[in-house]
Amino acid sequence: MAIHILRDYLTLNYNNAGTLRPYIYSYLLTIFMRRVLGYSYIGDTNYPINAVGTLLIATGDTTPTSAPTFPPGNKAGINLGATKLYHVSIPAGIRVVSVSDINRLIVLKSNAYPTFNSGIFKIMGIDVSTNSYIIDYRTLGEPPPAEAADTLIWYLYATESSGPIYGNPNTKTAAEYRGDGNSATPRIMLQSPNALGWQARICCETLNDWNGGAAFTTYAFSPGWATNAGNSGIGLIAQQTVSPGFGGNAVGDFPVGGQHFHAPMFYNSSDLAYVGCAIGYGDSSSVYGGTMQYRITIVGDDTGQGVTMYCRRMPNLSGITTSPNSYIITFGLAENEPMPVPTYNAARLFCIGTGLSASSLTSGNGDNQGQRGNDGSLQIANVFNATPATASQGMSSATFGVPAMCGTSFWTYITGNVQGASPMADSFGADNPFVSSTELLPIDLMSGTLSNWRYPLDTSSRDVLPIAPHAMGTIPHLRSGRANFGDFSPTTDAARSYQHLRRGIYIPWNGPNLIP
Amino acid sequence: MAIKFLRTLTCSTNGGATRVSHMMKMMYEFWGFCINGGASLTNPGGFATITPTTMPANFNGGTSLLASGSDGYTNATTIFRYDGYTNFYAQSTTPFLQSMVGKQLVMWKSGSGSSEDSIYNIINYISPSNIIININSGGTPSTPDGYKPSVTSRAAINYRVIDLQTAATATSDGNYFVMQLDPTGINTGQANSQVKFTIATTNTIMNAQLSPAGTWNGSAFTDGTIVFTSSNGNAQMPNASTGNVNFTLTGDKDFLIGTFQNQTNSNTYGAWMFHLEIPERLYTLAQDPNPITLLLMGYDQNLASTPFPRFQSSQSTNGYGGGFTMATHPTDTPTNNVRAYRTLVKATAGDGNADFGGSGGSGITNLCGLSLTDFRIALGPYSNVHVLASKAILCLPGITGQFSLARVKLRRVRFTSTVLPVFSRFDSGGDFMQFYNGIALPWDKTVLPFTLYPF
Repeated sequence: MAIHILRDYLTLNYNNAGTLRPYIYSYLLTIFMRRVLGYSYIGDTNYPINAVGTLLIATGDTTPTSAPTFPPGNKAGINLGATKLYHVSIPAGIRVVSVSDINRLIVLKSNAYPTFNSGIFKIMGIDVSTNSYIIDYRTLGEPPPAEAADTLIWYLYATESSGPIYGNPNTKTAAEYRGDGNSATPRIMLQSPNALGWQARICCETLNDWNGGAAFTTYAFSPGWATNAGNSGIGLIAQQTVSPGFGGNAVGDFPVGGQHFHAPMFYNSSDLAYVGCAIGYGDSSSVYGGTMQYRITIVGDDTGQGVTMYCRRMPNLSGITTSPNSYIITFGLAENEPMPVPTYNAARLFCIGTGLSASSLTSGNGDNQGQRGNDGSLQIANVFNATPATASQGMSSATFGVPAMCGTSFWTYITGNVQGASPMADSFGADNPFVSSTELLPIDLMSGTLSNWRYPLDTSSRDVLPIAPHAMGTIPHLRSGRANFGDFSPTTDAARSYQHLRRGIYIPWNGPNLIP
Repeated sequence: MAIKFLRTLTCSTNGGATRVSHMMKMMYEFWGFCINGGASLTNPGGFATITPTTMPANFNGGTSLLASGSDGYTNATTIFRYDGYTNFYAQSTTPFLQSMVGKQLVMWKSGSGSSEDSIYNIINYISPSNIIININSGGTPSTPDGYKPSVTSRAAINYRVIDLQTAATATSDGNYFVMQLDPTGINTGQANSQVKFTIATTNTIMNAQLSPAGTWNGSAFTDGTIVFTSSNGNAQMPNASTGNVNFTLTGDKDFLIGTFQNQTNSNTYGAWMFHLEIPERLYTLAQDPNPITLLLMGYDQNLASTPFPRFQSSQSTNGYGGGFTMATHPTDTPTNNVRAYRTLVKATAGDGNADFGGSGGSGITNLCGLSLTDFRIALGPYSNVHVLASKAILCLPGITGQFSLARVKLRRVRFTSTVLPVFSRFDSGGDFMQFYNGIALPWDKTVLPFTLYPF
């Protein structure tokens, strides 16, 4: 298994970010999965990243819609030496670099240096003499390991602002899920290279589903939300969702009642009882006049085990700006599964992230502008928890085939404590004297221990998710450790094996120097 | 290696006060003979090689050893009797006397994996070669009898008839013995770690000292930790109590768990217990060569008005929540220091209890153990673990320079829920049984015809 990293992609600065910026996450995620991690294409609606066209502009891959084929001479190189350290050369016979390519995305897959040279890089300039792109390599002065011409798999994609955004709903009723079938909203179905062949649907959900719709206007808000009576609704799920499962179709949907755990799609319902039951990320943010830039890091492997994406607000260091939120999402097939594994394969899959974007509320309680995002926390709480900025929601399937809650399962004091007060948060946390380094632990997954994600907004007695506890295994790649390690800092071993994000969550790194 | 059990053996102190030495006598017999016994009828196994004890002769043997032999035998029976009526015979000698009724029979076969190697009350005298013992304190779970304790046909059984009260009253403060544990199959390269238990404070306290590397030289350790005692209270024994005492011990060569209950100061005030084990090492051999941990949970007269259960995990500095003591890293001070580690379990969601609302049918998220009260989570009919149980690891937070997130994994305890009925058995990588407050300890299939804790 090789881990590839999309490192610290810095988004552009869009004044109309409320429309565009949040969707960059999905654009990068889908491209990275498809082109670097080797996920195959199953189908899509208005998500044309697969064939050469409006989004995929050029590549040396002669079969870009299936498994990649790079004939000799078709690959790229990086680090041309001397003053051309950050140059990516491509074969002129396939494409001659052009100023029109500036700000476009060059996707690289390196088998030799997957944590250095793989990724999606913004093109900052061109060098006609070497037919090269000058890329934003995203490191603190550490040039890429040189890879000769005709070494790297490459794809040239349109600028981030060209990526798909939400579209019109389907023709179903307001009581149903509006993002499948004949909905024009962009979504894509990709299939993992794992032997299990699990799939992931990445969807830019319709405004009806994530941004509140008529179906919700009759709900009385609980006290914490009472000031929002003028709003049309609160939304149901995340702005963009990732839904693992099986049996995806050519338009990028799973069937109603199929083997997946996007609850509104599974039950074909927009009932508020399912709030938070389709996991993703994203916001409507016009915070800071829409000028906030994000830094996106994605970690995944080429065996189709799992993917984690971290969308970091730019000044996201402790004690600095706390708004808008950052996002973490992790999904895939659990590692270290207890035997025997469930016969219902979707019960082996998971997705943990943000369950509700809640964009349309405008109040002083911090619920607006994506502030229901998890802010990089893998602690678990309801979407309407009192500390909305610091917890995730998650979904999996029960072993008997219906959507179920899924969450992390950390080691914590048996004496009891609230979320976020485990040893990870110990203020005395430091390098362990026994191991002379920061101690990291795998992160377990547990499903079926909560019956909904909505309390206390809707205190009716409907439990929509089964209580059916299932120890699933561990989250691929991620580790937990002390939270007081430097934010966005590599571990101190020579290989920089892990990077601490925030809140005690570490991702594999083994990469170049980090930009703080 | 095989787990042996001493199940709620109730003995009389003949009106005398109960003391630490009563428990230490039972530890001596159960650890030294039932678990680690060899061919010798007087020299126990499982103790340090060189001068492991200063206990007086009448504690180890002498006047407290009423008879011994190697010709014991039992005949299999599946006829269950509530009173535990079971014959024990001497094959070729006549060691038994009528006066031994009310005393204890210690039996073992060297290297045996049988849970019949235990300690039993002698309840009747038949002949000089035939006594009746109560098999319920040990025995083999008999399938035809619904896993009630029974005996199988065994011969050439080693045995000792002991007088608990004589042994217990022979001791003085400062008397000690040094137990030695066997880490075989647990941690590669680990030494035979040792622990020294010493009687103190007019026989009301059992002090402890750990030797991770097992360095007892006959008079001292070269790596011994500082001496420590119960993490709770000033005393371990209910002072000046009289009446029947009750012992439960579970152990193998790598661990020993014991509880003591006194009829006078019993459930109302709690009792005391210990949990000694070689835990699973989570660091490398070079980093942490010889992990050993001991939990001492004492009776505290000062807490008499605040009942303190024997099995509790609600406290962060004692009991199963924070009382497992280990030798700390050499950089800690003072030299050879020990600290009480905190017990970590798995949260069922995230890393703590979260308010998911008690009303409206919303799920309640809790941690495994004492706070897991939702029966739907604790007992999952569709789960891959029908009885949700968490293993536990030991963590040292809150100490400058000594932060250790996950040093060892405890092997001999599980944390379940409070909705699993007391004394429910379940499988969790071995047989376990729920005791109290979500704490489960090793057990076998045995179903006792009465409670483990009668007082």
